[in-house]
Parts: sequence; C-alpha cells; structure tokens
Amino acid sequence: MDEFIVVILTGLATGVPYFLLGSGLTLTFGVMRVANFAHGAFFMFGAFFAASLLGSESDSLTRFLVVACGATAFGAAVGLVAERAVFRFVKHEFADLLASFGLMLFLTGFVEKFWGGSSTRTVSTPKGLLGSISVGKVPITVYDLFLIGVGVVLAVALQAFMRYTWTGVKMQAVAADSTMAAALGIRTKLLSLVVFVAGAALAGFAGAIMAPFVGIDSNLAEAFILQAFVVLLIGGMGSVIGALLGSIILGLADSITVFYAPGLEAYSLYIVFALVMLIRPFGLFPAETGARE
Amino acid sequence: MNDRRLRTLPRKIIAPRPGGGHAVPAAGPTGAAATRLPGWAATRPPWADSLGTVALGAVVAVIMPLVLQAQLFNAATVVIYGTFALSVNLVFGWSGLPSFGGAAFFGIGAYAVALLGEKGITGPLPVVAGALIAGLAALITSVVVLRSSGLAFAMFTLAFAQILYEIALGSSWAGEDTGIVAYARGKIGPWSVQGNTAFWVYTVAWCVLLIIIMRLVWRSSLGASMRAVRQDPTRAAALGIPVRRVRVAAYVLSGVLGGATGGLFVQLNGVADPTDDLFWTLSGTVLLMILVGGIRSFWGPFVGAAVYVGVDTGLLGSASPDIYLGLLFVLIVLLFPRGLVGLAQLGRRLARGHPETRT
Repeated sequence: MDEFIVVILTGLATGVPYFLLGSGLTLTFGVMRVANFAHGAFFMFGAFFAASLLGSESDSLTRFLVVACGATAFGAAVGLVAERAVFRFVKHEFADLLASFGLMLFLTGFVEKFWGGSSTRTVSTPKGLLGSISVGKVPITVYDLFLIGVGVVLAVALQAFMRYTWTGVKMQAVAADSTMAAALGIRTKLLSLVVFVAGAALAGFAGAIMAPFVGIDSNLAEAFILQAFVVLLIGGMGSVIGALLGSIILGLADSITVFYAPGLEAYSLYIVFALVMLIRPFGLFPAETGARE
Repeated sequence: MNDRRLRTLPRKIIAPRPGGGHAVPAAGPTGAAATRLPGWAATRPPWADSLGTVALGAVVAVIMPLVLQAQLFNAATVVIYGTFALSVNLVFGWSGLPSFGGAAFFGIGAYAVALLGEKGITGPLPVVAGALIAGLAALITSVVVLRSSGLAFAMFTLAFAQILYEIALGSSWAGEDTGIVAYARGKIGPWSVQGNTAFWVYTVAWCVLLIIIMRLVWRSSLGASMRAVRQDPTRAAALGIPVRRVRVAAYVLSGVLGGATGGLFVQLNGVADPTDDLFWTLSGTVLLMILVGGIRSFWGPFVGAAVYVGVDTGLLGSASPDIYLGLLFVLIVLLFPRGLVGLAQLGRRLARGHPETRT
C-alpha cells in the first residue's frame, strides 16, 4: 500500500513538468492554431537563465524563486522576438511546423555558440527544498512536493484566468472562432501575440523549475519537445484541463513503469500516446467548435 | 486535355481566374512536368522518361572519379541523401502528409545493413533486406499512423522514429549509444565494391534504380492520385480515389526507398549510429532539404540535398552549424516556400512573359 502511494505521488510529481511544458504549447496552439517546435527552445532558455544565475551549489529558496520569475520574463522576451520575427509571417500549409523547426535549430545553435552550450551545466535544488520528508509512512522528496504544489497552483491559476478574466474569455473566443471574435471587435492579432508570449513565459518558467533535474545543455530544446506535443495532443489541442489530465496520466504511466516494468520505462510516453489517440483521436477534451485538425 | 493547353496561354487572352479557387491546378509547379510537355512527349511511355535519369547517372558515375576523385565521399553522400529526400517527399510533397519520421526508415535500413555486415553479409543484399524491413515497418505502423493527418500525423511519425531511437540506444545488440561499426560494402558477384571508385559506381547505380522507381510512380496514376489526395482529399474520395490506400502506398513506398538509402549510407560510412541515423532531427533535416530544393517538383529534394551537403561541408569547421541551417530553414519557409526549383520555374515563367498570379 505504501509503495502504491509512493508510485502515485512520484507520478504526480513527474506529471507536473509535463504540464509545465505542455501548458504553454496548449495555450499557443489553442488560440493561434500554430504548432511551435521552438517551444522546447524557450524551455531551454529558461533553464540556461537559471543555470547562469544560480550556479551549481545550493542556493537560498528566495533566490531560486526570484530567478524563476526572471526566467519566466526571459522566456517571454524570447517568445516576443520569435513571434514578431517568425510566427507573424507563418501562413501557408505546414509553415508553422517547418519554420518553428528551423527556429529551434537556430536557437539551439545560438545557445551553443554564445552561451557555451556544448558543456553541460547543473543547478542544485535550492536549500529550502532539499531532502525528503514523510507523508504518513511514505518518503517523498521535498522538491517533488514543491512540484506538485506548483502544478496545482498553476493549473488553478490558468483555469481561473481563462474563465474569470476578460482576457481569458477573449482567448477562449478567439480559440473557438477567430473570425467571429474579430468581427465582435476583439483584437485577435494582439491577443495572439499575448498568448504566444504567455506560452513562452510558461516554458521559461518550466525551464527554471526543472533546472535541478536536467542536464542543461543545448540538447534540451530537442529533448523535451516531443513530450510537450504529446501533452498537447492527448489533452485535446487547446484544453488546459486536458493538458493537466494528460500530464497526470503521463506522469503516472512513467512512475508505474519505473516501479513495475522497468524495461518499458523509456516507452511509457509512446504507449500512453498511442493508446489515448486510438481511443480518443481528438484528445481527452477536444474543442467543440471547428478546431478539429 | 484541352484545358491544360489553354492554361499556358498568356493571361490577356483568357479571363484571369479568381485567386485561391479549388480548381484543377494551373500550369504551375504542381504536376508541372506533365502539364508543360508538348504533345509527343506527353504520350511517350513512362519508362522512356527515366532514360534521362539513367543517362545522367551513367555520366556522373564515370566523370566523377576522373575529375573529382577527392570528392567522391561527399558526392556519394549527396546522392544518398538526395535519394532519401526524394523518398520522404513521396509522403510530404506528393501526398501532403507532414512526415517527421523519415529517420525511422533510414535508421531501419542502416541498422539492418550494419547488423548483417557484422555477420559478414555484405553487398547489395543487406540493402534490399533493410529496405524490405523498413517497408514492412511502414505497413504495420500505417495502421495507427494514417488514422490522423496534420499535426497528429507529424507527431506519430516523430514518435515512431523516437521509439526506434530508444530501442537502439538501450539495446546492446544495437551497440547502444556507440552504434555498430561494420564494413559492409562487400561485392557484387565477382566485382568488389570495397574501393572508393567501385563503391561510387555501385551507389550511383543503386540510387538511379530507386529514382527510376519514383519517377515511374510520379508519372503513373498512383502519382496523380497522390497529388489529388494532397490537394483535396474529400473531392478525391468523391472521384473514387481510395484515399486511405493511396496514402498507405505512399507511406510504404517511402519506407522501402528510405530504408534502402539508409543501408547505402552505412555501407558508405561503415558505422550505424543512433544519433545520426535515428534521432528525429534527421527527419527535420530531410524536410529542410526538400524545402530548399522545392517541395512540389520531382527533383527539388535532390537539389536541396546537394545544397544542404554543400553548406554543411562548408560549415564543417564552425562551432555551431545549426545557427545557419536554422536561419536558412526559416528564411526558405517564409520567403521561398517553393524552394530553388520553384524559383527557377518562376524565373522561366516570368521570362516567357507570364505575369505572376501566385507562386
């Protein structure tokens, strides 16, 4: 029973990074219908930002959180430049996939050349979040609990934002039917820009939060982009709740395979992806109006 | 048939078509080879169309070792990647499915040849084996992969390549992250293809064969069906074209041909490596080649592969070639979506006095 709880908690903690990565992409795709391969690159920039400012010894929690906020802003900035330079012009078929792939290559090379990306850096867990505690009789690392907390707060915040703020409602309108939204006076181009920047900010945040776990080098952009897209697709191409649920499923699948079927660990992502797409080809919470691809 | 000739007359004589209509394609890059031919050439048998390829191959095979012996390795790389790009374009440019999984078939062919080479089986047979296994894999995965289109399709194909990558990375029989070193050239009958020149001729011969297969498909009703399915799947289905089957055919064929090129690549390089042969960015690189050269023309991808190898070789010394390749990719996608061949066709049409309505 205890082991089961560990599996669940670890699964939840593993799912949060998926959610952090996938939520930005879900927002962007849901509103703009643009697939962005460079999303992983924004994540990479956030991680590099954190690595540059934090160094490899354990830092204080406040410093870590401040740097995380900085990484979010940095991600947003990179996203803004990317949108103005590239995504604004993306119009014809598959141009979004291809141009964003080129952008990903460019950003990867950029980091290699100007940020010493060929060596791998590490960031340590900040001081307040080291070690592990026991929930009942079950040991779990403090950082895992922190991640779960961050995930819950983020999910609630995003949902609240989408439902209870004007901007959020406008985003939903543009996602459902952008032509009609424009006809109703919503500034769709500005909104798309805002959404894209927000998505990039989320990616930057994810990069900082996950920095203690990953080897920070120029491969980051390519390594996690598939995970982000899987979350997008199984979530329902635009649904934040779907992305959350999908991330939880992915995280649980990961921890279940680690505990009970170690040989399959590397494939849990693909198994879940294939299964979900076979059962619900449009994702767990597909958009109801016109968004089916 | 009259329609096609009308559309090549200058616009002042015919009323201009309103832009963006879903009509039968004009004499543009799409199917240009078929629509621009004068009468007698349009009726020649499909195999005659490949004579040019054979002739070109023969010339190149003979001239290169005499003139540029030192560049044979690069030339062979160009030919192999070019054929690979052509095979991926079967799915992407011809059938309209964004495949990010070319690396999977390339890798299957590569590892098949490497594994057989380790056991001492060399020559053309392992390449055939690799091609067939890749084709089989394509057939099996098509059941899942071809249920979707667009982004989901791209991700499925990408995931398939990544699954194979993980398998190779984690299996000792596949050499894990170092891959397999295998000198797999061998010989055909009594002739050894071990040496550079002999191997060059062997490679050109193989690729000419693969390209002829593609050329035959391009000019056949299957090729036309693929183009129809790309342009408007609903109307194609309404016309009685078996959309799903056409896509499966394109996907499997692409798998077979891609697997063959992967096998040749290992024979050229002597090593099968998961990062070079299976990681999904290879698929993306192939798409770059296709775009640079021209997605809608037959030879575009080959031209693009040549450009890519040239640029990549030129950038060999620099610290991070990805910057330039990425930049090139973005510029091509945004500014020259029809690629170099598209630009050339545009230039030709402008020279003939056609005012341009669209690229």
